[in-house]
Amino acid sequence: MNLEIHDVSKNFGGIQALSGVSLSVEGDELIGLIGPNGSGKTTLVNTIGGIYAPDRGEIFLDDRPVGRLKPNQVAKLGVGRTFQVTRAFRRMTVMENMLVPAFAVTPDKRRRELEARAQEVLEFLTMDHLRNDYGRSLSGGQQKLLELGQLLMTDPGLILLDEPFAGVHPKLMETIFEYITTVHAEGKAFIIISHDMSSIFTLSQRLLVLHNGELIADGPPDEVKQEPQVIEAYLGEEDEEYV
Amino acid sequence: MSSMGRIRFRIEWAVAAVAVVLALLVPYVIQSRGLPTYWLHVIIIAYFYALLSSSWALLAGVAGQFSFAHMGFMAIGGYASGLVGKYLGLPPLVTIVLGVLAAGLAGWAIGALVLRFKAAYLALFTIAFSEILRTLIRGEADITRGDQGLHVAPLFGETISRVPYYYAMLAILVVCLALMYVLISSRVGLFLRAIREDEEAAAARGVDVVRYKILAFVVTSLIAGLAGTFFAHYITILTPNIMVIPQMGLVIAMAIIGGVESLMAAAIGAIIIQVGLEVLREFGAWRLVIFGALLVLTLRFARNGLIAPIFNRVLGLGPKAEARVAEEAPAQ
Repeated sequence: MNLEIHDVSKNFGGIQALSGVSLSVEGDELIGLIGPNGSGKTTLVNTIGGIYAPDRGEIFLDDRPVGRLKPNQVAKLGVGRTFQVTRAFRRMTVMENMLVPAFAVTPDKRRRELEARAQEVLEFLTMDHLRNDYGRSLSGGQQKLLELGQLLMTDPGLILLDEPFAGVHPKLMETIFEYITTVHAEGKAFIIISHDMSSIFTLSQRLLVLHNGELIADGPPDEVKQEPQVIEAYLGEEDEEYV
Repeated sequence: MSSMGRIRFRIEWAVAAVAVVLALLVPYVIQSRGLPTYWLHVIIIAYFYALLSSSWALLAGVAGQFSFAHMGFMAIGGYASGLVGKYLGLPPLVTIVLGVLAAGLAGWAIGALVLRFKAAYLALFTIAFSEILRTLIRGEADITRGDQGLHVAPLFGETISRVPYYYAMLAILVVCLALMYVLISSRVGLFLRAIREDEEAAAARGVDVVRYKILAFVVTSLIAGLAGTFFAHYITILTPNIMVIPQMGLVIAMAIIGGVESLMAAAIGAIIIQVGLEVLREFGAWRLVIFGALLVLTLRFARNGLIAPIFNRVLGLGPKAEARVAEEAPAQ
């Protein structure tokens, strides 16, 4: 799936969250999106996902303008996303959580068929034993996995992950790594927001850096992390760990 | 549907079938035991509240739209049917259909207007709608007869027997409950619950939130309207007092005490409370104190009501985590 963002701006009551952002994602790229807190990363993902309409500019999915579409319409076009704070449906079982996106995006498929697919995905995520548990009874990490599982139910072409590694223990991080690499190998494009520098540099083929709503760098991780503008804006000139 | 889901579905339908058979015997039991036919009237009104309570539970408990307009939709159904009958001279069966459609149309309009409203704003908007409607009905006394009451043709002509009304109300209740169960057991029910949990997340998963929120308002207002039309043609006189806020509060309390996330529990809660208030009539105002205390205790200690947990625990139904979650859940 190809994503084109042309000169997108978004303002919230005088705060310029995005300012003339332009970029493109082609085919099955795995892209990291970094930037300091408040730099506009989540706003960009929300704008791609249809939660916000851009004040200016346009977003294209496979050459189709989608900037004014609603989130459900964007989801049906093949964009899946997770949230910074997990938003599993808490008073619904894990299986019901899996079926919601499947029914919504593929209404022509039968329930039995979708339940079988959900079972496969839950086994892949080692969560099949929790299928009858409520979302609220899962740990934070399990809820993150559940959100990732929900994405697979709709077979999206572009997956937007907002802080997938935040607050997870090393074992779960391994599972999320495996998820991303396996799903990416199937030809899906990813845009991953993360503050975990080690993970994002390891995973990403390309890195985008936002600062004060502007895209200040775009390129291979090894090149981007050497750019003085990025070092200054994102981590500070004296950050030895980053360098 | 999972195997557990299928078992639950079958047991629920079996319980419902037994309940219907028992309900069919009520007029016979009242007659054979020599009880006053007034009790048949009490149970008819209890079924009326059960219909309102269960349909409000679908709107608020399943879809998460905490509306105070439900009695307003009921009144729209009743008044539309009564007014069309009075001014156009149409028979009750025709006016009932028109009354139900009028309530559905109002539900669609309100549903579309409150799309972006949540929690307190939705509640305030729907309270305002109900009060405006009530004031309008009182004010336009030349048309509606205001507080003097609008006379409505009886559904079954001049018969004085309550038995036909009993079976008609029972049939309406059973059919509406069955239709609502079919709805919430389908993918639509799943979408409504997802919207209740988190609208934004549901939309991001592909759920058309606008469409299903309006659908919830339309379906439940159609049912409330049907209840209103039946009530109008049974009692045969309508006044704006049927839609005062305390009446709406009564319906909400019935649903909460039964179990707001279960249609059947909300309906049973309404029947028990309505009959219970009549049984306790000799206690005068104290029965309302008892009722209020029951509501307070339910809100504090049984978030999902008093009847719904019986379905889930005594019958061994529901997801295995349900009991644990219910115990952990704080009262809201």
